[in-house]
Amino acid sequence: MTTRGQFKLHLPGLLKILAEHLYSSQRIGVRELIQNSHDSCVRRAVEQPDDSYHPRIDIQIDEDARILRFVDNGSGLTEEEIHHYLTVIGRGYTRELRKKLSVEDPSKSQQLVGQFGIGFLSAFLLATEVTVETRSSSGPALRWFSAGDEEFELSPGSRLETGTTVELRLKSSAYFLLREQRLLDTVREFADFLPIEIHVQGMEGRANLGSPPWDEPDEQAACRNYVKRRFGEADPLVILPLTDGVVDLGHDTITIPLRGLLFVPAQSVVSVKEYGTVAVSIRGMAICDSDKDLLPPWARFVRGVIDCPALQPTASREAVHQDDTFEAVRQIIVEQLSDGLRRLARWNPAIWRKIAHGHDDVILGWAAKDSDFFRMVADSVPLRSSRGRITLPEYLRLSGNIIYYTTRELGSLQEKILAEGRDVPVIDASWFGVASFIRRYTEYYSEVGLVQLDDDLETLMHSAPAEDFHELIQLCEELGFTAVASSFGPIDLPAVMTYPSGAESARDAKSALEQGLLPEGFSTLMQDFLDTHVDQSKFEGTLYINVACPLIQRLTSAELPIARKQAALSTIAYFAKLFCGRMLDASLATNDLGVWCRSLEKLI
Amino acid sequence: MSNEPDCWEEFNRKVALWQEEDDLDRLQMADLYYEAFEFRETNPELKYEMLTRGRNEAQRLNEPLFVLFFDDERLSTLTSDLHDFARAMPLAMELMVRFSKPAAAVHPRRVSVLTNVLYTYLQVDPIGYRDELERGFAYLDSQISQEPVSNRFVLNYRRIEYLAETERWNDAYELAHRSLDLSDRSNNRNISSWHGAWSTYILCRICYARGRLDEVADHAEDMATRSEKRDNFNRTLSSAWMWRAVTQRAWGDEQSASRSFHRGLRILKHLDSRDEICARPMAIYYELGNDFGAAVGVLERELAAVAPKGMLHRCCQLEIERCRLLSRAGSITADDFDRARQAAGKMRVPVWYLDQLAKIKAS
Repeated sequence: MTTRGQFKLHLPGLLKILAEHLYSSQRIGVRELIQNSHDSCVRRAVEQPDDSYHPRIDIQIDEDARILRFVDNGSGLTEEEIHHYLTVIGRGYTRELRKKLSVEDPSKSQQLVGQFGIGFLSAFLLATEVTVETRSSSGPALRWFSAGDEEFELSPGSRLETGTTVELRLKSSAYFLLREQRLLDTVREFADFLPIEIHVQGMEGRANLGSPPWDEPDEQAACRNYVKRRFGEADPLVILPLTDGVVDLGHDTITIPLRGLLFVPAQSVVSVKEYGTVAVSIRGMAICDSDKDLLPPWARFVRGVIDCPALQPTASREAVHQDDTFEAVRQIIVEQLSDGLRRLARWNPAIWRKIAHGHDDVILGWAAKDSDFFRMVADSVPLRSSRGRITLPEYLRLSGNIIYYTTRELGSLQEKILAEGRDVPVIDASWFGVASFIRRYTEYYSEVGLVQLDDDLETLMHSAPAEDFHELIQLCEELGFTAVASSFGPIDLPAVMTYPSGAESARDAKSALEQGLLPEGFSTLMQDFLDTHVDQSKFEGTLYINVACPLIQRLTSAELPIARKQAALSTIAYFAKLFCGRMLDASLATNDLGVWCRSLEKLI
Repeated sequence: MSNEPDCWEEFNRKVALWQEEDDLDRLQMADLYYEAFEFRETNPELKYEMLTRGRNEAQRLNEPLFVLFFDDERLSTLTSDLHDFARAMPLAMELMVRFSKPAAAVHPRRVSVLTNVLYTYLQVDPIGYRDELERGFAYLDSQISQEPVSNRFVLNYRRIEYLAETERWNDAYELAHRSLDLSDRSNNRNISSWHGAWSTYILCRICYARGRLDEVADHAEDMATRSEKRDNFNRTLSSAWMWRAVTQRAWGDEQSASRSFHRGLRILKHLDSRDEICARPMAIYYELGNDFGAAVGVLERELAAVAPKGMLHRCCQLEIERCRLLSRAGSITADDFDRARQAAGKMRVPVWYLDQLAKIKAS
């Protein structure tokens, strides 16, 4: 047998869920109550046109009584409206008014910001008790009271003027709103763009701006001031305006209404998390402070704020639905941002350099990943080099179309000196993202060569006939060095010592194996790795004797006693070993310094 | 079993201490881990760079345990996110040695490094290094708690992969189920959703290999549910849609299959390693629709992605699978077999792969 049933509501539970769990922050309660007051004022202006009417919201703090009041001079509520709208979850007058106005006066309907008829519930997010004193132009004053359970009280009120006062006896967790500055910040965060005057604690001037900066006559100055006021960024490197965008649907096009600004802060801090977000407003009411999906992933050095009435908020209005319109808005923002940055790089390279300098981590990291962004910045982002910051086209003109780079933060002085000896600067790729960026560059421009000097110092050397320097090489070998005759600059450098990449690790691995430090199974893998992946013959290092160096030439040609030659070569070799700085620990270095000193002594 | 220190205990303890001391330098260093983690699915190369920076910062601030922490995370990024075993191999071996030194031997990340060493060899040549892998897994099994802790899940997962790669499907199936049960026993929501999602990810593959489509469908459903519970679970989420598409197509529901497949594709579009994550179910999906050209295309894209990453075993599998599909399509040539043979020739035990090739040729 089939039976049919009907869902039932457990009102106290539902109230609790909606009031306490729908919103993630108690500050949202302030926004919702401001919005209710705002819409009530819009309603009065529409339904009772009067040129002398000045809509206004006052927010008052009674710190001793722990009470917060929202006072508006809007249309107020009749008893019927209290029963029909205020106490019915999910039904709001605003929605019905908007429907009506969208036909009669669409521009007025755009001013309304309420949507779901649940915003009033947020009062219970902040308060244990809520009292509403209201008076409509057509009815008596009424007092409504609720302690957040399923019942409320309605009685005659005492309000004399048309409008509504919502009085909240705050929960202890919402006491922070009793601090004037905190309340002021919250009002500005959510309602800066609303045209209605909002006053906090009787302050003479309005708390909110009243309009977005892009609507001001001097848009540029207003935007700059706004960025300072809202984001605390006194000196943004650039501000890019955002405007309506056209989206091609294939068979047709639509225009998405969009206003806003994007800006690039002076610099990123160590962290890269802060930026890449946009504050979103819909019809002037702030929805979310930091949407991270509207900007492209590479734009982590950009922040901004937009207002787009086409976006759809979620029920809590703390986020927007990621629907087709969202995608379209995203696409418009990407296009306008990319375009703005391209123009900047072309027409204002000094600013672009500042951006690239201040945000190089983020820019390089994403350029290596994102093809479009890479193409946008590849030739204009300056990299650190042994001759200061330089773009890759500038660098390649100096280096003969080959990128020479090092990845070690420390211990790459030798490589840099050798490169300078050939009149070639070296890119410092020890820094974040640089190595992957230049690898990508050489993939993109196949004619550009790439040499990692950490492992490939020989690229900067010319070979020399070993037979001409046989004696020196022989002497070096007697000193325990594997030596090779080469020619390189600068000529004042008599020798350099090199080790293969990973030499230190392999040395440690051998030692760990000898000491039996690795568990069973793993030691076999390690031995196999050393046997198959590592050229152990080079681990003792290779000493490159610079035959272009006058000192080496003199040592080769001069008729000197062998012991003296050996002592001279020993000082050169140990100097090179110590200068290289690899495969050393304190005890080895001390030992090498001892040999070096004794060799010098012999010469003296 | 030894007393296994928790991976995060020391990390969190230090962070709390620095918060008390208002030590911003160190807090920013620790924060780099969380920031890097955000790029796990979309830009793992950037994640790796940020972790490298974290390591350098730890070095500068003289925090040796954090140097090791970041180095382990770098290794895990190379193996788990970038799947780049050519770059992982030297780092894994270097870290194995560094973590074996007395000062680091009790570091909570030691077992994680050792697990990654095994994972790397498992991706290179699981047949050729079978003995070493078996002994390594047995050693780690004795070192890691049987309770639902991260290291246990990761070890189990790698072992399941090993069993799957060596085609011991029943053992793989049992261990994967044990791991799934273990994740459901955890009180930690992160652990249960994360490791649960990955257990179902591999269970789909195992169940398909065992011919259990009904179970594939169940695990795909479960994987989707677990993945949707958290942000940035798009790899498993896309895979869930792809396996759904496979089962739907196998059961003749073409409309749903196509919808699921495209849903999976949409998620994949935004991810790194997109040619690898769902390659298996995608190729199966096309094969079930008799679109052998598209199935081979999937394999070739995966082959191009994994070949430079030192995944020799997977390359062999892909070459063999390619031969099988081309053979089914009736378009196989001697060159195709040669390519597969050459790939097998790079392995320690080529006969394991050549046997499979011979079967295809015979059929």
